Amino acid sequence: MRRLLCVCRNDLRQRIRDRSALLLAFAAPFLVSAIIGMALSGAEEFSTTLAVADLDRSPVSSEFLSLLQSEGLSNVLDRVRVYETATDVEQAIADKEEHVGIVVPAGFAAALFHPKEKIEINIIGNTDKTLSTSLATALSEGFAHNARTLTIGLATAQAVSHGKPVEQARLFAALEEGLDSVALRSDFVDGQVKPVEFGAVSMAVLFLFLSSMFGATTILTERQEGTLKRLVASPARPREILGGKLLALYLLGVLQMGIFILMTSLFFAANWGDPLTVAVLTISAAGASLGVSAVILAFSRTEEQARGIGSMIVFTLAIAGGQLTFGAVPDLLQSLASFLPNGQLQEGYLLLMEEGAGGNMKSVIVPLLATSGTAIAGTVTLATRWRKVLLA
Amino acid sequence: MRNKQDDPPAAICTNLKKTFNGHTVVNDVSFSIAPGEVYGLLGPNGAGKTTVISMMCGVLPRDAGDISIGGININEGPQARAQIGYVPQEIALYHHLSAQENLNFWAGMYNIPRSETAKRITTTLDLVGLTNRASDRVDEYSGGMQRRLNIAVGLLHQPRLLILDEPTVGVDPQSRNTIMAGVETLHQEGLAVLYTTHYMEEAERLCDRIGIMDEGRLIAEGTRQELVTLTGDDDRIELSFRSTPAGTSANTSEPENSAPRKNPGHDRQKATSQSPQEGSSRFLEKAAQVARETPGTHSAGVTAEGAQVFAKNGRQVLPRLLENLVDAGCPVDGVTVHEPDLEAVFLHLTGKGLRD
Ligand SMILES: Nc1ncnc2c1ncn2[C@@H]1O[C@H](COP(=O)(O)OP(=O)(O)OP(=O)(O)O)[C@@H](O)[C@H]1O
Ligand SMILES: [Mg+2]
Repeated sequence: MRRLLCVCRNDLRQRIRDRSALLLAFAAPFLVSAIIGMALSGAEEFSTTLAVADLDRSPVSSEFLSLLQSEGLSNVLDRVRVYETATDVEQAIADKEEHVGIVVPAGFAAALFHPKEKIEINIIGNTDKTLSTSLATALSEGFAHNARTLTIGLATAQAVSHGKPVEQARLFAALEEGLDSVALRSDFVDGQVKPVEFGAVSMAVLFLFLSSMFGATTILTERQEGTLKRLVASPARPREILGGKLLALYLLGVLQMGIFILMTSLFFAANWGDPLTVAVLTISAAGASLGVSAVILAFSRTEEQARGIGSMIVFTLAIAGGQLTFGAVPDLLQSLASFLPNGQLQEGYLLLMEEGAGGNMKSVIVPLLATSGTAIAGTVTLATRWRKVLLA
Repeated sequence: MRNKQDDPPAAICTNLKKTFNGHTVVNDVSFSIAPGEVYGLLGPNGAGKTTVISMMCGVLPRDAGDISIGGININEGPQARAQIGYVPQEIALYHHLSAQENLNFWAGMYNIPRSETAKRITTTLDLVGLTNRASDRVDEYSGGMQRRLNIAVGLLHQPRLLILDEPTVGVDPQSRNTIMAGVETLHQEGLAVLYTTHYMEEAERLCDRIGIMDEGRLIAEGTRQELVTLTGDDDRIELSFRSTPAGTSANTSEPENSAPRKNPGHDRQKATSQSPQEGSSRFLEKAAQVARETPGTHSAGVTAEGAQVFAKNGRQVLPRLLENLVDAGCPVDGVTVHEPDLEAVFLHLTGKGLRD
């Protein structure tokens, strides 16, 4: 046990002396989430006025209008005023009465049912108000996309189930119900989680798993430099050597997350939720990162290999797990993410944020299982291949 | 100092074998190291020295053979490994840490009692002359200092057997000397050492016994004296000549038609009809003939640089030999007497040089 702790302490001491490791583990995630926080929190203070004209006057377009006027968007859309014609809207923009305009042209709803026909929503922007313009574009595109997907889906479902032509009126009714659940389901504007908090969670998870790659490479660097050989030649047992090294990586993971959570709470006023549950989830999260380290280590002989294999694993995880897409993920990825430890972890932290003080272990049982499972699977994989790692 | 008589051998290796991808790099190697003995493994690059050492230290699994260290079979693991002070060929140190911190870590790994650690570290740093740099980071050390600390790590736990794998590679002459003097001191203190090198001078200076390795095999073993008798123990006298009658230097490394030289014989000889090479070789042949006829020599021949002569006692024969050569009109420019050495033994055994 003395040897295991010796190895662990020695590794920790070295990491702390290594500026680039420190930067990666502690400074970089904080900086990046500060940047993301600033970019996103721009959206909080940012607000715009919107002019809208509905020339279609269909149930679908009125649904769109009521969405624009909904509570959920009120923090970014200061005021939404409805105009009669496209010209009125253009005039209002030109007179700088409104920041940006949206015109739903006639035939919008009908086009939804004809997949080959282009759906059009016209955005009338202002060159000084690019952010407002992009927001209006994003809202419209999101709506149009979801509406089309839904209509086609419904039409197909009904045609299949009744074996007869689809009635438009019934579709509209279904559409109206369905729209609530699809349109603009966005973590930015919809939930209680603030943009900066969302950024903090994804960065925390991203950098935790990034460090797992660097954790594996440090052990292989030792192999290249010859100190690993020396360790193996010492009276230490293989399990003491690997155990000490893994323990060091694990503690660094916990420390990295802990400091990050603390810093974002202090400086970004992020509310991570119930402290005890957050702590437990974090302890398990560091385990998952360790598990990934162990897998990378088990299948690499050199530092370069570990970087190659590691970046492949880590970036695949990050993309599929939703740390690089900021919630705006296609459904397929969304469901894939729930099978990944980092996807689950991100989900878990967001959940705790949403639940605030009311969150508890029960709400994050799946993320806990996913992360600790990864820890165990990774460590077992490495244990079966220790010879490959330690011996020449 | 340990009582050597009662101690088991520092190491016994029997029939070691290692194959990498069907290529046997250590083939049936057996040797043993007595307590307090400095044993040299001498061999060219790729001979298999490091591979043997790696197997002894438990760093590399062996394909066959047995190893015991200080009477403990290496299969016992930790106890056997604890007897060894292993100094790898590369500088295996933690570069972000100071010498003190490096040694402190290894003290923990070798279970040196905490109460003794500080004293041990001081003594060891003293031994390698790094005391006043103890708290500097290793990456601020010179190459020679790093080498010395590399060795210090192997000495810290007072091993029964110190294994040094080419400790002087890439080291300046001063550090090299320090290292060798250090090994001599340790030897005097009774520490057994396994020393690998491809410098025969190091093996000759430091080792009680030497094993010569080539292509994975231990091809000869013994004291320096024993090995040298393998070649027959003639001295080798190398002769070079100021100029040959053909007007070219006997030293073939010079361009053959070099610019006119300040050579009294030069113009006179230029008129002869022989080609320079022909004249040169005939001249050297004549010198060799004179040498062969000189009493006390065994044989003589022409070489690329001049002539070489073998004699039981080179330095005794030399005055007479030079006199005869001058009398015969072969003025000698340079003489070197080589006593029989391991280089010659290696050449004799393998037909190639140690550092080709
Ligand atoms: N891990 C390995 N995989 C494949 N071949 C290896 C491995 N290690 C050593 N070899 C080969 O084994 C042979 C002996 O190598 P070794 O390092 O033991 O030689 P050495 O005598 O120490 O040489 P040097 O003086 O250059 O250090 C070499 O041909 C080398 O290429
Ligand atoms: Mg070697």
